[in-house]
Amino acid sequence: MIKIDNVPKEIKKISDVVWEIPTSYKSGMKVPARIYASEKLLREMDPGVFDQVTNVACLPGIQKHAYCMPDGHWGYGFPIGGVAAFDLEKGVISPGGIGFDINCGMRLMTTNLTFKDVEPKLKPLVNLLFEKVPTGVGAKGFLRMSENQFKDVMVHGADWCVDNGYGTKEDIKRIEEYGCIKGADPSKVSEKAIKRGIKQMGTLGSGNHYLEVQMVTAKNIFRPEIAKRFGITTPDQIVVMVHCGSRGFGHQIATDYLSVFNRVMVEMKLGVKDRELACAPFKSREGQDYYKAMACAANAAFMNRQVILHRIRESFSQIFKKEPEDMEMNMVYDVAHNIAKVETHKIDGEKMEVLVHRKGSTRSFGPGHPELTEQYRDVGQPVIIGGSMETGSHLLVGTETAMNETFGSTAHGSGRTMSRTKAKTMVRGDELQKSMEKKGIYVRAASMLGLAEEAGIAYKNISEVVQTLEKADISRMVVGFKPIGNIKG
Amino acid sequence: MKFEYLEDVATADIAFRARGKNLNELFENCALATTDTMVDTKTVKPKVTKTITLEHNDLEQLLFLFLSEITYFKDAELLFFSKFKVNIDGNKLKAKMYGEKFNNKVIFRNDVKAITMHMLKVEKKKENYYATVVLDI
Repeated sequence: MIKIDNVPKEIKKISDVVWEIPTSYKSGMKVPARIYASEKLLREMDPGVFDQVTNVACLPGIQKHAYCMPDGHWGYGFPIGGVAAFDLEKGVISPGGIGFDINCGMRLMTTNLTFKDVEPKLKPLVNLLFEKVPTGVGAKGFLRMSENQFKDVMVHGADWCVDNGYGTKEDIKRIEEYGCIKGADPSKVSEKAIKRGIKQMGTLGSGNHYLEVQMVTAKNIFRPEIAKRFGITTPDQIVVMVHCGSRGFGHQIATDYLSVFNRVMVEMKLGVKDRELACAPFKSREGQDYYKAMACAANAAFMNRQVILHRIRESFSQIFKKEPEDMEMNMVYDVAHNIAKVETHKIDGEKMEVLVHRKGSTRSFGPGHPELTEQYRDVGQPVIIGGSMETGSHLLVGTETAMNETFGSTAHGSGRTMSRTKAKTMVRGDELQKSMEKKGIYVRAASMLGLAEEAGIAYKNISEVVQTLEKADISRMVVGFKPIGNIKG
Repeated sequence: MKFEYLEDVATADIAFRARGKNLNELFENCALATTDTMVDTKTVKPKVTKTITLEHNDLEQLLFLFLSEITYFKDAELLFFSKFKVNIDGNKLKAKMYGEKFNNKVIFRNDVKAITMHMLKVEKKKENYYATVVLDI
């Protein structure tokens, strides 16, 4: 037993960066909960995290442990940073373990430009990106799709983009699941979801979503050999990072099925600790319907980030008067961090198919995994961790330890420590924009209030988060990036 | 007080508590709080009217369905509302919502992705009704 304020007294220290809450903590817990955090990060976690991760541990069919990653914080249903894997036969699927923004994720691309090339044109570049990739509410994408075309997107995901001139086959190889989750069925999606989403493909959204122009610095290249494999070769190299998801389309699918699952819970007399954790047996009709609809949203999100990549290439071309190929604007990777997927993992030494929920958690497959694209199979999967717009972001690589310990999962961001409501009482958007510009970060935002809520002070220290991942060895640090230009919703 | 935002709940999202003399007023104030999170409702003129009817035998689920309509109209028709007239009769809800299409005079704040069921609560205390809602941002 260990005594840390704020933290359940039953918590056991497994290592310097792994903590366990035993099943005796709460009635109904089927497995212990494990939290990956340094002692500092653990102390800073809000009490909601401990309550929520132990609620997850009560869900039927859960395997090994309910996990929370070092960026964990209070969410709804699962904590953000939550991971859980369920038996396919006896286990459940829960929209609250995926989030409303189905397949919210990160995408990273490189360029061969350096800071010296970009700095003189940074403002026109960011202004053009702000125009080409609409943000905020009321934003319409440049794509005009018929309902049938949108249904093709739901089934084919990022592949649709290659067929329609918005990307290359090389891009697709560097997307988790190759940009398309199998089993998507548009007949399981409501007309309302289609109406909400059809005009929004190619848009960023709001909240913590962003598109960022970033630079590498020499002191932030931690593993040069692996960095090179991911396309990071030069100090001062410019990269572009995108954080967004399935937009109103996914939000409506999650909303629709949350209602369905709550009805099922009442009918089946399944008790649940939080209605946001409503679930249904994965193999039930409702469970399968949701999975098929979720896959539609996930595929739309892969497509959304792919068309955004296309718009970024167009913008760079226009500003630097060069073809994207000449600027080597290549994909590093695209990861989903709000998702449930059927994956094969080892449990007690035996291979087993499980439904892994990651809510604010990134897949972190280690070297040799057959799912990985050939180019990366020997080094492991690129893991993209988005930080706050003031403090920078990181590229890491997946590990064997993650495969053995966390169902191949790791953190997804730096994690908030302060609520939005509190942040905006402390920060003014326009002042923040000016002070960031002085620090060399040019920001355009659709909402000044939204900008204030995303201030760096509202987030955990990202170095502490990635160093914890490194110590726990559930992913290894490769490169750190510093923001220089940012567009926000 | 029609509604207030809660500082220390749901770190990455926005939570509010609303009050009403009766259920109709409570639902109207919840709708206003949800919309005010997205835009400055003072900048939204009541030019268009939408009427919706919903049904649910659980009051909290009925509130969830009602507020979810607001996020639906925001994306599907780019409509925001600044005035709501709600009439709840048993398990049925009828609402008239007055607003306008998003334009450059409307001040945008935050996109509400969805209404969550986390901590969702409707309760009566003495003379008033209260609701707690967490919005996904």
